[in-house]
Amino acid sequence: MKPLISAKGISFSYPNGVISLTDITLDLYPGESVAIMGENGAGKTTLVKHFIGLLRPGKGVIEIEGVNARTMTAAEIARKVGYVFQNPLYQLFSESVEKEVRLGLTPLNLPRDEVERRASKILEDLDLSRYRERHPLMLSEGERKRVALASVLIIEPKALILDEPTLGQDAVEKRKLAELLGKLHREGHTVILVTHDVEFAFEVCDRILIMSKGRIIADGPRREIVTLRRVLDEASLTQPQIPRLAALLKRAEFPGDTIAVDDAEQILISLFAEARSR
Amino acid sequence: MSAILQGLQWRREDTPIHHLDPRSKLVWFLSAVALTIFAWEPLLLLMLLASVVPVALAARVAGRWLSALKSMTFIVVFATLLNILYYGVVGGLLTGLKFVTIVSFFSVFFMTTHPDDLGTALTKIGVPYTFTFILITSARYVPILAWEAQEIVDAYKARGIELEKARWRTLRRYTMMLVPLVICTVRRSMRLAEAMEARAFGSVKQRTSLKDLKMGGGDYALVSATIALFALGILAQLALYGLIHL
Repeated sequence: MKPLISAKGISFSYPNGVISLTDITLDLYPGESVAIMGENGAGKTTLVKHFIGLLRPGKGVIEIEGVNARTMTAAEIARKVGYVFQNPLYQLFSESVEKEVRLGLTPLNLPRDEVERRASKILEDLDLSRYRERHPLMLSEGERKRVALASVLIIEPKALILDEPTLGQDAVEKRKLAELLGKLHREGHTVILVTHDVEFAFEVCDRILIMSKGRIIADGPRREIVTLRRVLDEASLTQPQIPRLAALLKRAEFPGDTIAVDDAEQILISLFAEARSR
Repeated sequence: MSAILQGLQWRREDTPIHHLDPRSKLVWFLSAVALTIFAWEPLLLLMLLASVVPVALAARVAGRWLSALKSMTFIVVFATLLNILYYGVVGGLLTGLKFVTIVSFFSVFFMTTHPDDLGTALTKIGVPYTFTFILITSARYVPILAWEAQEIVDAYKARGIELEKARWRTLRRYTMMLVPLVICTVRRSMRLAEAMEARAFGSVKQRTSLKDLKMGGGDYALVSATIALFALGILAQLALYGLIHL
């Protein structure tokens, strides 16, 4: 399969001389869900900003569907790769939720009924229909984040990058976000999360990428990554709760690569049953 | 843009210029700027500009000063051309030279003086702390504002709106970005006001500061040299105007 986004040996340093990325090579395939994790300043946001052309590598090449990203402007890449910023306030420009959501379609010159259809669908999907006429700034933080997400999703990009989407979200909003991302993933979107939230990342994403000091120090399926405690420590991450429980119950033959709560529940039930029968 | 900001931003350095009392630097800075505004003699202006060089070298900020000037080439050329239209070639060029000189003094002064120290100096001179505080905070928020503006431009591009290919419409699109920028700024000032109240800002009339200022030998030398040279410069210029006879 051809990668959707591919980084070939990219390095980047900021104008003030701070080296932010060192020799990063990676391929992201269509339909993958990937979490990019690591401590503050590890280079996560800097890396994903390269995927949409907001930053250009000092060395190396970024390819979007096999085409060198240098030949495209950020706005052109945005049709293929959507990017939702950490702070929704930076991306709200319009006086109503509906106008905000439609803004991204203006350069596409779509027929009016298509614009209408997409806008209605996306507002429905993100539970925003009743706020159509509202000013985006009159909404709550969580709702504003959804407006920002809707205004990117309406362009129907193949890949979606979300920078710290769980920040400032309560438990219900987080669960809804996880469901939405799961749905997008099933529909074939590539979902890329930049996050500190280990629980959320390991729940939503199949592939985990760990960065430290501008390098990728681990990259693989979540079942493998979750057991690499030393790597997680190096990136100032804690293991998610279930694998931690698994590690504690190692002597009781609890499988160390368990991640999902449901799986853990099943294993615990059978372990208890076994113990009782003895 | 960022080079201009870099050329105004204080950074920790261990040089004699950085260690000078902010009050003596303020005297130097204000007299130098005043003299530059007052002077129309080319040689005097060139000497003033040249006087920045040893200071910048001693303070190890010459590189940032020059790159700030370089990134301002366009504005300087534009301002000079405009002035040539009004004042003729000589007047225009001199105004351009004045502009570069004043910018240089600003650059070196702010690169070597921490905003807090400047605040303490102003308070000692007798400026009410509320005004000093406004000055310090606005200086402090400039880099944050610049970063935020960049982030908003990026968010706009990420929505598929073309900004990299220059067109007439591009200019109009930039005005839209004022909305989030103003909103974020207003919000930040509200938060700042709350934080200030939480720390009882203004509850005491007589403030004391953690770092007390002390004039040293170098400071007295700088102030006396500045006053002497300033007087000399003014007299020379007045004589050249024919207003006094030396």
